[in-house]
Amino acid sequence: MTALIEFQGFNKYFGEHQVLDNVDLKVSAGEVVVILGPSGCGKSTLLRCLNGLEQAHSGHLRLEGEELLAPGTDWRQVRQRVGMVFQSYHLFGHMSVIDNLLLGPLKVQKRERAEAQAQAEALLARVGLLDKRDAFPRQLSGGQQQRIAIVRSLCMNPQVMLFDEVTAALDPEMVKEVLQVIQGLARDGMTLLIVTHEMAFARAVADRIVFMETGRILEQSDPESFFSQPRTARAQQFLDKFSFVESLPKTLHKEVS
Amino acid sequence: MASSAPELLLVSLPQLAKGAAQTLAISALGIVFATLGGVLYGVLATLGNRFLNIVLQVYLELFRAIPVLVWLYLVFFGLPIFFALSIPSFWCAVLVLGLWGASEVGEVVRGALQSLPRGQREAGLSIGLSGGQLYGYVLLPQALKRMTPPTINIYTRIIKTSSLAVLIGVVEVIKAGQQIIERTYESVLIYGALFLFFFIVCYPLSAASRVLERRWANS
Repeated sequence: MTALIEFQGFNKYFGEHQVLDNVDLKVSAGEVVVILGPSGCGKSTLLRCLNGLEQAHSGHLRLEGEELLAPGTDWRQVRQRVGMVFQSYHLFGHMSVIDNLLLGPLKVQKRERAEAQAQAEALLARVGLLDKRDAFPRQLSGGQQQRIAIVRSLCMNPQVMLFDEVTAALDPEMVKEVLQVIQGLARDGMTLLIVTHEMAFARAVADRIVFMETGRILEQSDPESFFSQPRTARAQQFLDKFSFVESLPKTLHKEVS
Repeated sequence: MASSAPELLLVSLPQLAKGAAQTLAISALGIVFATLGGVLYGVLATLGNRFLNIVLQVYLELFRAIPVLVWLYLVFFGLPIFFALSIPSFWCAVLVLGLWGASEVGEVVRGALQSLPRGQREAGLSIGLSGGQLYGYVLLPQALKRMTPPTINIYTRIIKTSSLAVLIGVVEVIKAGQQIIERTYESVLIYGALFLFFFIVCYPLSAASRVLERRWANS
């Protein structure tokens, strides 16, 4: 079986600094891959390279077997197949929700308004925001905006969705509504690449965990083995930091000075 | 010879009106070119192309460092000498005002575009928009609110500066006024009329700019 997405010997530099170092990663259709790792490990850059927002420097990147690092790649075409959702949603502030959703389908894909609008409304209903159809982004909460941003990507009918720390800018009570939407997509069998710091979510939604540090993939495994017995010391250390807060003992004695 | 002030004004009105029409025509055309050129400048300046940025920087500095009057002379007297290209004085004035205005408006447009969050560009690209679509549907409409008030102020400066065209022989409103004064010696009256003319044209613009700035300040 050919992988839907394949990074092979993939390198990326910011100036002298190498942010991705010989990355090999295969993702099959329908797979949910969660990428974990400390800040600055290159996980967001990896997603951005797949969407052409960053330029790769060497190696191979294939989508359905087609080499994307070839000079003739039509990134506009690729981006329609690879949806991306950002940490800060980035809805278009001067447009109503429905116009945000229809811009790509109508202007990029030149689809019929009636058909595109029916799809957009169905997806809005699915994320519970059909009543916000004509609202403007500034009238919506962060969680609502992020769900709209997900729908905006879905309206392009992509083959893959990339989620780049999509709950990192949200209040805790809004995280749930966004994660539920993503989990719904996973349940439907959509191919997802997710960068997150929500460990419990990663464990629940992932088919496979990829752990990265300093631009390299240190280990890949199914979520149960990764979270219960990581193979590398670095991953263990990383997980310990997250469980530290959960297992923090109650403050018993206060020093009175 | 006219005897009373109202009578004089009435008699000289056609001549003043003709001059005013020239002033308004030069200004309006200058504003149109300044706006189109300014938007083009702003877009080009935000593409991130090194070579383009150098070219635009040179263009900007030339118009910042050299007075508009000198540009008028350069174009009106210089082009025939160096390029054997002679342009009527009216169009010289339009050209120079347009190019000067474009450099000013262009900096405003560039600033407005750059003040938009970077994510707007990335979100637009990520749904497959082309460069033209990105600017047309996403970036320029959002920059419009930030760039309109300062751009209107530049328009009033273009209108006022258009009076320099008198020095290359355009009979615009000030020249028309001076011709009447030479004939009648009624300088106070005529300059008063000129004052009123510029005020009536420019004040609504600067008032509009202020209102828009206030209305859009917090959106």
